[in-house]
Amino acid sequence: MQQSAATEFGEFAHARWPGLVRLGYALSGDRHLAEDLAQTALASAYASWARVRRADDPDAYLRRIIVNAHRSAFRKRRVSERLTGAQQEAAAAAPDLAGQRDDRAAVVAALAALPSRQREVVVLRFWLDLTESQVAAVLGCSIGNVKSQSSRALAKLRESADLAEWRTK
Amino acid sequence: MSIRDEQDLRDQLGAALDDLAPGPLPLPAVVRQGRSVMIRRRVTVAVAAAVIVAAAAATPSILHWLRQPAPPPVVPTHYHVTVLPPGPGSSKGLIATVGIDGRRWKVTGTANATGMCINGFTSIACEADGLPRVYRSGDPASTGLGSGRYPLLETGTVRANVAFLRLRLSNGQVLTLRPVPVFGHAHAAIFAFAVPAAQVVTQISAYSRHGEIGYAVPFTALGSVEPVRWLKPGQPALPSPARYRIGSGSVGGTPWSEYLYTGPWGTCMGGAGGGSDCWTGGVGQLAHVKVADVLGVSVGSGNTWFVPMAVAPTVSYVLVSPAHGASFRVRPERTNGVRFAVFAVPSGHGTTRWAAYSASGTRLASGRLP
Repeated sequence: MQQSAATEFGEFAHARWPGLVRLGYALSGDRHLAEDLAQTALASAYASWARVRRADDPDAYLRRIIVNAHRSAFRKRRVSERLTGAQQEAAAAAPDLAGQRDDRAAVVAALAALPSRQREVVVLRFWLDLTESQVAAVLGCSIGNVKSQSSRALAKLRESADLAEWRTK
Repeated sequence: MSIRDEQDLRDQLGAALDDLAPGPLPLPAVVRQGRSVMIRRRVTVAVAAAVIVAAAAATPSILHWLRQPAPPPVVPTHYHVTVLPPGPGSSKGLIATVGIDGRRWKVTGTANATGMCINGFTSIACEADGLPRVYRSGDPASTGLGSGRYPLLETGTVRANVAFLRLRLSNGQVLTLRPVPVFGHAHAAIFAFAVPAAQVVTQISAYSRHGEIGYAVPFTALGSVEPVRWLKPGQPALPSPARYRIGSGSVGGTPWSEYLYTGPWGTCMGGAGGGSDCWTGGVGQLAHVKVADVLGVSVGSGNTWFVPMAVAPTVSYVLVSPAHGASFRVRPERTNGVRFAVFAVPSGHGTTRWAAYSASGTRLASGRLP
């Protein structure tokens, strides 16, 4: 990569880093994994910089990588936890804030309780404010699927015990 | 608390996530990981090529081409090239029917789980970065997946406002290439052509529905057609092409040389290993390196990495320490005002480290590969 492109990539990476880590955190509920996911997304962008820099929406490219990398990481983690006998459900729901049940932990715990596709839809649609068609493009599914997953996720969140606990604090 | 409506959910998510403060960006680690991804992709292409050669051996029509003599010493002067766009009733995914001297091949594009594959006359080339998205800014056209060398099949994508391309060849032929949206209109349209050798392509011009957008004198010295720098219509194609050797050596008794190519395309680097690294500016851009910068890693046959570095005047030598084997020093060579240090190391045997030293033996910078 030539030097001007390297400088340009550095600026791009610095600007995107916080948002990517937050997206990774929303999907995984794990701060360290979130930073790994963000690093993976930026490394992939570095490797394809000539194409990413001229894309209409480079953020869409990064979001797709984060979502795919998280699915892959999630699958790997499930396997490793099965081998070590760890409690996968507990690990997935546990926030990274040393057991402190603060607001963030409650929301992350509620997200973690959702099936992964519903969690992805909620984060992309209601936190990043993407349109249904943008969410469908990131997830590689139909708009109808986004709508149905969104509707089911909202129904589950309405009943979420984690969010109820937060509200009554 | 319950989620009563979507706005409530948005507020809760925003309150929970917007103020999360991540740690600092590990940019050096990102770059290292990115370079690893690039190397893996190049190795994947090399492995795919080997598989394709094995598969081709079973196909008589392809054997004809495999029996062709290796790189012809002279670029052919007598040849005739054709490119036919898909017509009514053409098969799905057809980009073009390309021909050289009466032989014809269908070039098709197919989507898979990770990206796309181009099926050409001697091989299948795939890319795992998703399908090419529509782009409205940047270069009017760029080449990407290609296969073969003598002959060469080249494919590429065009910017959204490009209606067609014109390809000028050394025999005086002018071909019209009409890009095809084989992956739908949400993705960039793709063009394809075949030529007896990359060097016969002398110019690529891009046209919108309103006229010529620009043209490029592509870089062709290393077996592919790369339109690196685009010029405005009528703008002179300068500077004249030139080649400079920036490093050389031998691996297992086989000599290698790395070159810098300057011309109307800008600057390209390559020769040792596969592929090339191009940019639109001049060599002078590299003169501003602070201490030492790895410019790229190319993968050669025999599991060898070729590593060109640009180094500052303060660097006297670069000490390279492969994971296995003895360390060695590389003395920079000055070319066009830039000091280059180029070396070859075996790949896939652990991490190779490098360190740049001053004449007094002070360590100025260091790094690792990939």
